Amino acid sequence: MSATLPTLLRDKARLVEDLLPATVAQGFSPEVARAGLEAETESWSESALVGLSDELPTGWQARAPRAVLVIAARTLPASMLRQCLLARALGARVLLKCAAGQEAVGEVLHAIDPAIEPTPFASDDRAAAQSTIALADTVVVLGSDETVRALRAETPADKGFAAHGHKVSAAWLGPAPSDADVTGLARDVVAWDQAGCLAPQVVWVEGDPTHVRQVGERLTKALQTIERELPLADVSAHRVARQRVVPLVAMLGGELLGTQTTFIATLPEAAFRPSPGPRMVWLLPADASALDALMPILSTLAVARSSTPTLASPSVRLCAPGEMQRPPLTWRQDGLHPLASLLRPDRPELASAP
Amino acid sequence: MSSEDDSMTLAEVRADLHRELMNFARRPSRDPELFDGLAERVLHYQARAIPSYGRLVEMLGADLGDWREAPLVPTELFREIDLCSQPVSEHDKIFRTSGTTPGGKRGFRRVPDLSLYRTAMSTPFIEGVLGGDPTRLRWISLIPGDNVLSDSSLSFMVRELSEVIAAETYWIVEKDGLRLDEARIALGEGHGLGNEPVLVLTTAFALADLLERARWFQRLPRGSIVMLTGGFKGRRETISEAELLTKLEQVFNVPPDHVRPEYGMTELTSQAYGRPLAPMASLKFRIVHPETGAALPPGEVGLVGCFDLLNLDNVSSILTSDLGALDEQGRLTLHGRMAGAVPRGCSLSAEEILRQQ
Repeated sequence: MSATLPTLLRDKARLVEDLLPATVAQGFSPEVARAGLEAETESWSESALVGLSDELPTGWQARAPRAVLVIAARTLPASMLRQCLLARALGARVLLKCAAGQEAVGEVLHAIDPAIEPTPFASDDRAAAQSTIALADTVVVLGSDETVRALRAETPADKGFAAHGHKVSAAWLGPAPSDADVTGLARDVVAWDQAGCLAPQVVWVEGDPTHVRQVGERLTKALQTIERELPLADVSAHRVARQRVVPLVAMLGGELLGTQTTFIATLPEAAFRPSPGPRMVWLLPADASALDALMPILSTLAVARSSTPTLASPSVRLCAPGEMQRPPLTWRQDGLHPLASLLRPDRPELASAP
Repeated sequence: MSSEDDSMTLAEVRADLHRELMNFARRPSRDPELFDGLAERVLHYQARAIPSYGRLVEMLGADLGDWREAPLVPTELFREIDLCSQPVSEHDKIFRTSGTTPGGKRGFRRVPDLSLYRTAMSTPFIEGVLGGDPTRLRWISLIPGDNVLSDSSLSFMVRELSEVIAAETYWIVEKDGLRLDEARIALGEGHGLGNEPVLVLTTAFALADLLERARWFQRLPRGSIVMLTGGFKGRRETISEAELLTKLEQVFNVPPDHVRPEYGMTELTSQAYGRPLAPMASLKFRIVHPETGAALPPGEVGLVGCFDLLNLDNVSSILTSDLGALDEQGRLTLHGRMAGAVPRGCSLSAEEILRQQ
């Protein structure tokens, strides 16, 4: 027996259409929501799943979970969708705790596949968490480190536990990246309005300040085209953040570039800086030590073909610009095998104490 | 701007302005022309003396002729930049924000010279909190002294004021939090000593905590006053101001008109008092649209901007995260705080994660 493509994916186009209204209700434009959902469903294929299945240990079927509890984060539906589909690929029932504002997505999934069961409980309701965990063989947590810690403590050692805490992503470009790389990066910035762990928050550019500026200008041009195709729905949040960040850029000696709805700012310092709002990205001079400092929390690094950063961490996903928000099904998020992480523990007595 | 200032060195301009502002602090004036003239000179000085502010002025092509149009510096930039016109000295006083964002970087203001602060604070406090009556009262402070919080501007202010205005001060919050037994003694003695009114100085959170935990209090003597400052930012539990006022009257017998709000912050030297908040003469408020930064007329709610003449060595034109509206007299009514950016998952916690490394 091997993992099988979930029934939800038999008609990918319908799945996207069904999920679209609930995803738009989360604050994305229909175009952005559709592109994001299509990217996720396109990553699923029978062959990729068989390949993953073949990597599972012998006799894994005995450890296949009958029920997986998926606790979703309040960002975008793609990661939650993937975890639900992976659990269904193993034949498990899914108990889905949606984040606030995501409930409609859970209801849509349940309507298409009744084995995905929305299971709401308050985040601070410990008794409800314990009783829900008791129903599952494996718990998957997408969320903050605090959430992960709290739920790990509630999960008995004989259950599987897969945690995907918060991470950040970045890009690294050479001094003269190709048009394809610049366009790809622009797509990474606007995908899911730059929400989630896979969105680039900073772009390091090799070369001198002139190169950084030139890349900024080219990125701006690419964004002007792509934004027409993938508009920002919540312009208000972007504008509010922009009002507060413009003085910062000026006072730190940076320069403002970008479009009406995508903010690009160069800064002279290379140190990583979180993005201050939707579609706001920092362009920084490339510096290996700045990248090294980010390594413990770095999820994905987009690397242009012409650039040469050295990476010490094998758990960081490297990809081409344009692929940041399109992780392949085989991606080992946080170093975990997508299917193996859902299995029940092989020897629970050796599992880490809750 | 005074054309003389152009030909003077920065040190000379600063000395000149400091002298005039000290006069202003000693004899506060509501003359708008005086304020506007000083504000223009302070702005020009700060644009020259604080390079990062000068860059902001240049990038925006700002005209510094009117403080109402001066570039506003968001308070969060005090976490990033040393916004001080003077070189670092071992004698500097450094005030830090309370750090209400868990794990977040705290804002700071380096103050090389406290003379303006010290000189200006008493008169507005007596007017705004004590109703203009300088009679020395016994103070009961739920705001820790600056021996406990050495970098808190509020603690500094309360301790400085207590030394010149209070008959006696009970500090009932120590490093380990509220001392309920000491609070009981302080408030009980206040009741026992001839029914003399007391002044209770507190943050909203400390007061809510006290009211929640201490159910044994007797009523405070008639005429007692409560100075209330701060909100509940960063706290999970909140209580509305109306609920707080009701409880204060029920538990302490302090009527709402004896509860005097104070509005101040680490980034400012001046304060505002009352309901609505009347700024002291050295402080002006402006309200701006959160999305466009455009000025909003009285009555409309937007982000609160401040212009503090006495912030000579730091920046005077500051943008808070508070929402509020002005009345025709320039007094402020707060409407909570600007909600954070739309939750963006990982981005939100990135800074916190970095700090934990």
